[in-house]
Amino acid sequence: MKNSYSVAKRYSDALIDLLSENKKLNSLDDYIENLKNIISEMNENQVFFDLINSPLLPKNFITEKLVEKSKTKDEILKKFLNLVVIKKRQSLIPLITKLLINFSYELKKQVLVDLISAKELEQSTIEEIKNNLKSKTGRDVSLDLTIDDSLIGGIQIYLDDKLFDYSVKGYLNSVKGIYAANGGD
Amino acid sequence: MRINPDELTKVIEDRIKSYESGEIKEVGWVMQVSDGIIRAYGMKETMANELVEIHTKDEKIVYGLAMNLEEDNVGIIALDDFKEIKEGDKVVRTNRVIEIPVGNNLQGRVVNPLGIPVDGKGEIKEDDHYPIERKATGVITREPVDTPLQTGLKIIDAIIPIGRGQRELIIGDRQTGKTAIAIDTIINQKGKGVKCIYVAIGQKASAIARNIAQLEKHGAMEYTTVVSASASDPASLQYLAPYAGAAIGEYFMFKGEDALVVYDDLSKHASAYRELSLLLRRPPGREAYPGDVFYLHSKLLERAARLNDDFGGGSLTALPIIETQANDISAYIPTNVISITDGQIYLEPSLFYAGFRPAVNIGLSVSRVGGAAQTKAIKKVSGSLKLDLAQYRELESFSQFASDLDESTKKQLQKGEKLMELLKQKQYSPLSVAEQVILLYAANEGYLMEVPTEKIQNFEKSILSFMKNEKSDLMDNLADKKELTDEIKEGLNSAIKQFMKTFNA
Repeated sequence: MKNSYSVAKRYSDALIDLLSENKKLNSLDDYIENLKNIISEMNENQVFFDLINSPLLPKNFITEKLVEKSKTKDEILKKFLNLVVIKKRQSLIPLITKLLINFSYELKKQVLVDLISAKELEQSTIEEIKNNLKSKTGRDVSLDLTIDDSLIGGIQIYLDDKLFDYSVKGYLNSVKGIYAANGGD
Repeated sequence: MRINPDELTKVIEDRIKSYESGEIKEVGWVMQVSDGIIRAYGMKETMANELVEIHTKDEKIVYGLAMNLEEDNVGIIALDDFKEIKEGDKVVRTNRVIEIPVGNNLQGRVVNPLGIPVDGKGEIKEDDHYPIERKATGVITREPVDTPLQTGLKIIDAIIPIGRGQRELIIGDRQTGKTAIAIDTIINQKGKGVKCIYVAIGQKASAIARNIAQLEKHGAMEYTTVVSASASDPASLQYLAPYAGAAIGEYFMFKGEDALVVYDDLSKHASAYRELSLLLRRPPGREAYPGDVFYLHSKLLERAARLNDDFGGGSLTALPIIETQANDISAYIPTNVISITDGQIYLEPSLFYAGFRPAVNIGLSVSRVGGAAQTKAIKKVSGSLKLDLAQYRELESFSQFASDLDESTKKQLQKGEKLMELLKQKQYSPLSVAEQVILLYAANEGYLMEVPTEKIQNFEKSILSFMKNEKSDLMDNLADKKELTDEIKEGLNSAIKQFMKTFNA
């Protein structure tokens, strides 16, 4: 399965364990950066994507290419990428990275929050939202800001699998739902 | 949609007032879509059988049903076209289990298993919403079956009677007249206050249209709702269809009315569920059905009930249909459903092709509780009928040695032959209780022995029209009392004698 969480989790957990054994957990962010390099190349370069997923090419060649794009010199990551290629799990790299990012936030006692707003927010508002979320979650908040004008007004906050919808679009949708449920009366 | 501007303003104002609180939704993301099965991650609190919304990239909402709650994902079945759902689409919980609109306005309409009309006759104003899946009503609320549900078919009402609240299986090979029995039963409920629901599962759309046309032609659509999940509908809708039909029937039952629901057919329902289960990667068992295929049907058929007066006294009768392959009633699904129901009507192809229609095999058919509900008059005339037919079946194999048989055996064979001829009945021509009693009484009293076998159909037609025209008082009396009193017996004897004189002449 292309997006199997359970499989990806096994790989991310294994890497974390390995880093922890080698006392390299504090440089987890560097590993994530290396993996992000591979992901951006996979997204931007179709030839690279096809190349690493090709069943015809030798596995050590694919590993070399992955190591090259990741710009890493670390032996652990090289071995890890080699294992990923041997097990034909290259397509899971984005999911593994995502799980590593989540773990990294966990490690730093931080929480990643997606904040979508209709217009660009002022810095003071962002700070206020950050503080508010910090008081609610008890953790430092790292905000990922996106602007989506289809919200019309207000903001949407994604925290884990919860959506806090304070947007005009959301309210209009809920009004529409109530109206439809009552058969238009 | 009618929009009242004042109300709309009020709703918007109220919502804006509560703006501060915002709205918290639980969301997930689609990670895989294949064959109508969606895997989503997130939504950790999702309930089993919860309705979820899948928001596609082009702002369309596709509804789905959460079936599998797994460690790292939720398995959802799409209830609509899933082609527009893409990886990464947002899935939002609704915190509601799946419901269907119910009410009197559904009568005369054709709806899909979600209650959306598919007959082009406009929106339906529902009275209430009922959950599609509901636990069957408990023991305290029930009482034994005591009122008959007349099918209008002599062979069934006399030998395998069905009571209101009973679950009677109709089983047989393809093209043996299973649907015909169900449709005749629905047609016969006209003016009897029984609300009918016909659930078509995995059938050809042309066959469903033909059945609806027949119901309309005989004025039965007025009190009938058709729940249609044709072969072209997704397996998810075919899986939900019988539960939706049961929910519509339960509305009438809980209101204290009588309802009849026909599930046509549960073999295709089991196949649809098998398809979903296999796609959801649930482990396959015998014949690749999942482990809970027994519960699938038992939870559905348990919803048929006769409520006691404290709970309104309503009833929901179920007529499930099962299609067998090559007469094999010992296959997995047929044995399951046979064991759940209160009896079965077994239809046999050899009888059907021999021209004995309805092709009911009397030996293998049974009604376990219907006897208690039979009207007294029919009970009286059918008692000896069963015995005569049983004896006829035993002697039937000797019929080819007719010339070597003794007189009494010959007579018994003749009687059986005539009785079998009398039990034949054309489609879409249900008979009232009084009509059935007259025919069976005439047979019991030996009047049939005077009529040649090939003339029995003619005899039936003539005696009924004679009774209707000349002895309508007696017919009315019989229909009212539903009992063979001495006075009625006397009347019947003299009327039949009078008729026989003209018929034989």
